[in-house]
Order: sequence, then C-alpha cells, then structure tokens
Amino acid sequence: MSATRHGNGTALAAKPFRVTSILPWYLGVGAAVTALSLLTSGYWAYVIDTVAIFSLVALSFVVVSGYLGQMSLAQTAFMGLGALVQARLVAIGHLPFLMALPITLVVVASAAVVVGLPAVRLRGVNLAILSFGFAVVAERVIFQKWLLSGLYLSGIPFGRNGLGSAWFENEQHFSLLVISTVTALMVVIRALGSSRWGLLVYSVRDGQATAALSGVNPTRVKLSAFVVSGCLAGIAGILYALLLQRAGWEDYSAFNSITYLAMSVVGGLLHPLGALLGGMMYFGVPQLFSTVSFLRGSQFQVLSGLLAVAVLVLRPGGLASLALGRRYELHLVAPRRRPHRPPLPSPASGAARPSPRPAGAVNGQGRREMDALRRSCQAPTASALATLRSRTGERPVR
Amino acid sequence: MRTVSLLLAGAATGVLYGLIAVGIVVTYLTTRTLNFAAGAVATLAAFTFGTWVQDGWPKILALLASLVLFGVGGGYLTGGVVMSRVRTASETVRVAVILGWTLGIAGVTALLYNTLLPVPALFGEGSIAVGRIRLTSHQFAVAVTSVLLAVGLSIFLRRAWLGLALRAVAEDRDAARALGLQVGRVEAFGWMCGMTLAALGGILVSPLVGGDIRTQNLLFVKVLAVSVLAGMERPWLALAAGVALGMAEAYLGGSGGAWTTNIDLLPFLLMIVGLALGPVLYGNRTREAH
Repeated sequence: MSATRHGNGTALAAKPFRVTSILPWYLGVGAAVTALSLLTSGYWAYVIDTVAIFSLVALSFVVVSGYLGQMSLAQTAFMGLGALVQARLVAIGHLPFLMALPITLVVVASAAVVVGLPAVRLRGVNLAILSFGFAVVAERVIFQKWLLSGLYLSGIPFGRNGLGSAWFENEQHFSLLVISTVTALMVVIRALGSSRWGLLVYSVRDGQATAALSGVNPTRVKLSAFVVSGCLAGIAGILYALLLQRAGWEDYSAFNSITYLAMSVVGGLLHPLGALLGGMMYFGVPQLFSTVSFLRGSQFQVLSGLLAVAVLVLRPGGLASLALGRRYELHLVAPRRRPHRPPLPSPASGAARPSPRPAGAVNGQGRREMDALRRSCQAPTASALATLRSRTGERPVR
Repeated sequence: MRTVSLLLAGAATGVLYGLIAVGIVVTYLTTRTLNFAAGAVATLAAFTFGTWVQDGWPKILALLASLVLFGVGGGYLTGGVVMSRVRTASETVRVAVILGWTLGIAGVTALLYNTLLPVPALFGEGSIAVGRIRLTSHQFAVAVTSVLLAVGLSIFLRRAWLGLALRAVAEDRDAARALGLQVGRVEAFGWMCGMTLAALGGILVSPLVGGDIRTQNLLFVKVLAVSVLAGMERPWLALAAGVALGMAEAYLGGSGGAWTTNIDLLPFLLMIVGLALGPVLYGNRTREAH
C-alpha cells in the first residue's frame, strides 16, 4: 500500500497534535449548544438532547467504520445492551448509577468482542451481514427473552432519579449532562484519532498484512477499536433511555442500525465533526422541517433518502468533507483494483534502464488493458471470465 | 408422521426464504453489492400489484406491469444512474448509498400507501392436500416457481453468454472490458435482474407472510443467513439452504426445550457457520475486490 494511495487515510495523524489546539473549538461548540438548550425548553430541548445522543451513535461509527474501516451494523445491539443492563442494575437492582456503569460497560465491551472477533477474519459485506445478524438476535433473544422477560416485557421504567441526584430531574440540568458527556467523548475520540493507537488502527485498516509484518497485532487492534466503538454506543443507549425515562427493546431495534449507518456516512466518517453533522441530519433537520414547512413524515423520508444518495454521489467523504477538505474522503474513494505499476521512465533515465514493457503499451489506457488482459488469462479456469474468453471464438463479443 | 408434517410445513416456509435469497445472491453475484433495497422494492411492488388488482386489472397484467416498472425501471435507475456514479467508492459508501436509496423507496411506499394493503395471491386461493398437510395452491405454485427460477438462473449464469458476461464484469471489470464487453450496460442489466427478482419475490411472498416485509428484520436475517450458507454464489443452493433452514426451524422449534424459546438464534448460528466454512466449502474462486 503506497503512501500516496492511502496517505490521506491518516489525515488525522498527519500533523503533530496537541489536545489544547482543538479544545477551544470543541468547548466552543459544546457551550453554544448548551446555551441553545438553556434558551429553549420543552420540545426543542428534547430535540437538542436527541441530536447530541445520535451524534454519539454516529461517533461510534466514526471509530469502527471510519478509523478501522469495518462495517458494523451491531451498534443498536450495543446501545440496547447498555440501556437495558444499566436500567436493570439501577432501577431493579438498586445499585448506584456510577457503580453500575462499569459493570454495564464490561457487558457491552464483551458483546463488542463477540462481534469483533469474526472481524479479525471477515471484512466488508460479510461482517455487515454477521453484525446485522447479531443485532437482530440481540433484539429478539437477548433483549426480549433474557433481559426483559416477564414483568418488564414492555420496558423498564428508568427515570432520571436513577442518576442518584435530584439535581438531574431538571430538564436543563439533564441537557447539560448529555451535552457535556458527548462533547468530552468527542474530544477523546478526536485525540485518539491522532494518537499512537490511531496510527495502529489506520495501519490495520490500510493493510492488515503489512501492519502485521511491522509488528502490529491486528487482532488486538481491531478488538480494541470494536470495544471503544461499542462502549460509545452503549453510553449513547444509556443516555437515550434516561431521556425517554424508560428502557425498552423497541428503541434499539436492529433495523435502526441501517439508518444510523446511513446518517453517519452522510455526516462523514472520519472526523467527530461528521458525527455531529450526522446526528443533526438524522434527527434535528427532520424536526426543523416538520415544524417550519409543509413537509411531513414520509415526504421528508423520501427527501432525506435522496439527499443521502446525492451527498454520497457528489462527496463520498460526507458533509464533513465539505468543511474539512477532500483529505477526509480518504480510503472511501480509493480505487478498488489497480495493480502496482512502475512509473513511466523519463526519456533520459529510460535509456539507462531497459524497459520490461512491450512496445506499444506506453499510454495509460493501453497499459491498463494489457494488465487486464493478462489478468483475464490468469483467471481461474472455473471463472466466468475464462469461460467467456474461451468462447470468444464462437461468437463475436460486443 | 408428526415429524414428516412438521418438516413439510417447514419446507413450505423455507421456500420463501430461498426465493428472496435467490434475488439477493443474483444481485451480489452480478454487482458485488448487497442489495439492502430488496425488501423496500419488494414491498412497493407488492402494494402496487395489490392496488392494481383491486382496481380491476387482470392479475397477469398487473404482475407484468409492476415487474417492468419496479424491476426493469427501478433496476436501471439504481444501477445505471446511481450506483454507476459511486463505482470507485469503497464498499462502505456503496452500501450507504443503497441504504439511502432504501430509505427513499420506503418513503415513497409510505407516501403512496399509508396503510397496509392486502396483497392478493397470484395463483388463487384453492388448496391441495399433501398427506395430512394442506397447502394452498398459491403456496404450492410459489414452491414450483422458486425451484424453476433457481435452477433456471443457475443454468443461465453458468452457460448463457449474457449470464457469463454478468459474472465476468463482477469478477474483473477491466478484464471484462478488455474482452470487449460494455461493462456499464452489463452492470445496469445486473441491477435490473436483481430488482426484478426482488419485486417478484415481494409479490409472491407478501400474501403468505402478510404485512410489510420491509420491517420484518428477522425474515431478512434468515434470508441473509441462507445467502451466506450458499456462499453468495449459487442460486439453486440458496433455495436449498432456505428449505433446509425452514425444516430445521420447524423441527427444532417443535421439539420443545431450550431450542423452542431460543429458535431465533438459529439463523445467526448458521450465519457464523456459513461465514466460517464458506471459504472451505466453496473456495475463493472470485478474486477479492481489493
């Protein structure tokens, strides 16, 4: 994997990084959102909290899909596990919130390891299938049969008094908790993206074998990224349950994972800013539209679906890349298959070094086709290409 | 005797998993994209078919019209217009585009049909007795259609020139172009095939499953498990795996004990088995898109 091809993939780690250099930005945005939530109340405070929580969900995709390059659709399972386990421990088991939190995170982290372990071998669409399977199993079996059986099938009441202090019962105080948690986690994830750990994760994403040769343990790196991502989703789940004051399985239905992934990609997967934009796209913008304009429910769904497609077709880096520049489009637009070719020799050096290429294949197009033809000759005999090639004598191919 | 009737009933359900899986496998085989939009297109096509039949159209005309509109038209729009623009993007982006597309189609369905519609059975309401099991004629005809479709598509993809072209483009775009294929058109055709199969699946399956198949996650996971078990490669194997899953579910689910409560774990376990054993069973004949 050459530096030019994937070099942009390490955009976050390219420059020397100090947390202090980003803190003003993040704290500024956090303060602005807080001010907004203090000015509003009731419904709009609820909208702001929800946007913050879904930004956290999108942030969990930033780690697993952006940094690590794996497609996980199990995020709703992590959210649900976080919410339901915490609610059981606090509301039914009467544990203090902060004592229950580590236990919950350990449970969520173990689930993330279960999903992450296959990721050591699988990638792309197979992992998406498997993680979606896990999300559905979590919804149907773990949530409905194991965690919510009997009395609590319709959900566990999980009021804000579960936080251990009457102070949070106030809507605005709760908003403050949500916004500060999300802001802090965004700073942490941004800093992790530029840390040594971030470099390890990118190295595994950009070439697992190369990374392993350099002494990186891909299994450990992948699992750690899954655990971080899972815990982010778990915390988002807990906050969401507290916001709704109830932890039920319907809010963590597997199908939502698909919507969340789409929203995260539209926001942009490589930077916490993308997560914020994704959260706004998913919840804030529809709410805004539904109150100020004639657009309603399904009309907006059509529009947002088509908008998602349009954003991705025009800027595969998502909305964040509009603000941050194309280097944040990284591996998302890497060419899928282009075999390594030596650079064209300049006339002077070409004379000194005999060229292994046949005459006539000098321009890019010609060489591309030569490479492709060579590959088609090397294709396994069972492949469609080989069969087609052997048939080209029978029938002119157009 | 009870076991036999359990297995038969399971097979009748399994055919449905298989039928939808055939569409997923064919789309994956020809475009290397997992068609998450299949469920949304299936619902839209089924509801449109139902509305037209209610309006007094002949069933066969309504069927053909919705297949052309959603299968051929929808496939061209998806493959020729949208997906062709993100061809060089990573798998994550392509899947996200499909997901956005899915949201859009689901939204259109909600706009046009705001309540659940009953979808009439294409093959009528009569019934046939097989031993003690009573199958509706629609169920029976769907099973026969599925077998014909799966076997026919397998042969088409293996022997016919166009089928080979579809697979060749998916295997290696540049090499296929070097052989003289017009890859853009072939890819668009692959999407048309996939969407037509999804629409047909929706029209055939909706009367049996009932409701909105888009929201039936569990059905989708079963279909995915079946597709994975078939190695995403062979349509007839997908159908066979579907029948096998249906029978296993009916047998284990009816056995009592721990399996009965946790039967929904089965597709997930099969998925893991399929993904772990897939490379061993089927080899890695198509080169990784990397």
